[in-house]
Amino acid sequence: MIRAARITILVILSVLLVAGSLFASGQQQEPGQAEVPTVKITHWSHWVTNNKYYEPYWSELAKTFNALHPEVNFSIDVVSIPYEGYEAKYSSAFEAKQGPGMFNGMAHVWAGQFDVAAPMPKDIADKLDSILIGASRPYGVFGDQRYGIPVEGGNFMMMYINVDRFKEAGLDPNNPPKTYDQMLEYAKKLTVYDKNGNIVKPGYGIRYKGHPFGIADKVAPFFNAWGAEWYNWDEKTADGYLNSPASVAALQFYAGMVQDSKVASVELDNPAAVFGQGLAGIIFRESWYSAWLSQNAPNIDFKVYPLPKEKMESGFGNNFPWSIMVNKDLNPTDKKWLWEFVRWYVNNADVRKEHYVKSEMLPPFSDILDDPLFKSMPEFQAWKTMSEGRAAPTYYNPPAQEILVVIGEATLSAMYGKQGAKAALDDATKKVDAILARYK
Amino acid sequence: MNNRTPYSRKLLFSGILFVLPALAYFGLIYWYPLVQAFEMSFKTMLPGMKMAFAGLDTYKEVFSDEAFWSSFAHTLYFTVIAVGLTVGLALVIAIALNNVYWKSTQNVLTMVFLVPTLVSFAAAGLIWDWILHPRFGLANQILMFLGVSDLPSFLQSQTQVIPSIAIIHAWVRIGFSVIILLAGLQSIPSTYFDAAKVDGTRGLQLYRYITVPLLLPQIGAVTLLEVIFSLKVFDEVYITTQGGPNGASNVLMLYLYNNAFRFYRMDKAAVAAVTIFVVLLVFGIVQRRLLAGRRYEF
Repeated sequence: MIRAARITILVILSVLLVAGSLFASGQQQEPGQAEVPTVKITHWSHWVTNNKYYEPYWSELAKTFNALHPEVNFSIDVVSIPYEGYEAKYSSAFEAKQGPGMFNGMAHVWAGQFDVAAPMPKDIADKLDSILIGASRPYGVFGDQRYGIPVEGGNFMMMYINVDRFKEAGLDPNNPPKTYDQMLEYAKKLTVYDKNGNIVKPGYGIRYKGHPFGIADKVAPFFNAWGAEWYNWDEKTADGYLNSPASVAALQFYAGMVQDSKVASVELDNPAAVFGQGLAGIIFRESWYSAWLSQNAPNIDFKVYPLPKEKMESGFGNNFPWSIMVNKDLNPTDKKWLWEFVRWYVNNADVRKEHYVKSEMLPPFSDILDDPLFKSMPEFQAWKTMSEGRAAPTYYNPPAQEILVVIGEATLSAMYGKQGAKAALDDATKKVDAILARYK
Repeated sequence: MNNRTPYSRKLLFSGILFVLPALAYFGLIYWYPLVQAFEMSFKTMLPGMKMAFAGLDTYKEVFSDEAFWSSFAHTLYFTVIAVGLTVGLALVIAIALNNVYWKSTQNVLTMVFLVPTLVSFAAAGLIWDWILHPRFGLANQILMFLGVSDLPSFLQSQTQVIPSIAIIHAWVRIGFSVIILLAGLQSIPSTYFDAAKVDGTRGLQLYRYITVPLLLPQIGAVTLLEVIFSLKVFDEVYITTQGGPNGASNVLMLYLYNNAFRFYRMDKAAVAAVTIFVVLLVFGIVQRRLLAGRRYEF
């Protein structure tokens, strides 16, 4: 028995020794050398999958900053966290106090709901607010506090058209639809059916797959154009908003593209995929998609235009205001140097310009927009027109994701003919009111 | 009165020491989260990610949620199809393999059925998502070649989606059940079949009166395992449909996942987890009682 106990204790001690040596950190210091703090920041983002320059840019930028600051060993390690399922990884990590130093997210979720994002120092926030384009200014803000740096300038839906499909249908790709009724007429000409009447090339690529909050995001421009709102956060009610006549009309139009006009298919694939395959004539997507098409589907000849209007312009607005935020639970040294890095980034226009030029993405910063590359981007003119136009309603509140799911499910219900638009929105209104009631 | 000798006490203590690491592992990985889930199911999530004791309120909220009951119904429907397909087909395949004369051929064919078991559900979902694409998928291309005009939509159809996912699930799981059933078949002495043939039993009667009854313990075991796997279905649903189209494949584990990680309602997710646990526990107890006594020693 004593022998068994000795062996067990020996095994446990050996395991602890190995584990300790594996996880021990520290730097070998030369004799006489002053101690230089090592700050290694992990940066989690799904933008790595959207854009191949994202990861090298931030890693190299950290090296440039490190060279300017010999008093610290600073580095950034970018980790690709795919968008699908990112919430589970983030919430598990933050719950375990193992969250990344920098992360891409939405301020109303990670600051408003989870309270893991660090408030941005005032000087950085003020500088950012002075250089951000108007449309991007709300991204990264919750309440009156800024937490994050917006990532994308064109983070709102624009209309992408397939030039070849337009020409096949006898339409002029330089004359896009200006209203939703016009868009429907165009879509009818663009749609191609097989001998059984199934759509093989949709006129409009509609979002029907994937998570309901993505579906709600894609129907939002239609609600905006009909002048509808989803709910009032101050009053904590959706009654009279989500089930208003304007909302019903918008959803009827949207669902009608599947059920009545049959210009949109719920079988082919999601809009980004069917457009990239050269099938869809028209889709709505943000500005990042332009770079994605250039990199992944260079054979697609496309143009980008402002969204159509109905009672009013669809406006610029979105449900996913991505920004890069800092983890509030970082140790003081890491947080101090990370904010120094952010301060340097925000105050250095050339550094920011390099990122967006290499990424072929529209920046959210007005002070670097003069680069000819940005002006030559297919989406630049549409983006400029829309960002100078109407600001659509936004819903950057803590239960936003849950509410988006309800609206997405109502949209699907109408699209699949399970319910009419009014019945679907009446049911959705009750559910949204129940969610909002928890925040009264 | 303590009947243990010093030596048996030493053995007992040694035994405890040796199982301690495994107990610690299971305690940390399985039992602690289970107890935590139970505790969380009696709380409610407040704004700011705080939790407060709520008694049975969260249970009432979940059990009055239409999405919960529809996901429960979808899960049960899926389980019936998946288990029926997996166990039924595995039995037929095992019987067929058992009748293969050459051992080497039998081994090769067994491996063929076992290979999909090595594939993860997520990978299987990706593969079958392509195969079952209504326009460009291999399945419909074959059906078109065979002259079928009214092509199914599989994963894009509200009525066909659950059976389609059940096919994916069965494809992955069938090999494991074949192995268990084949081993059971090979353990039945041939004397039973010889005696039955002497009594005039032929063809399907042999299977009905000899093979299946003697194989009941193994059939029960694989059925229990398949029910457990089916009730916990998640990966292939998440990869292929995310609960669509229009919520038609929204299953309990997806309901749990969405509440936990998308809506940040850990309380509702905990209730769903407890419900799944209770259902599995009840099923396991009922199945053991039904099969109690049906053990054969050869």
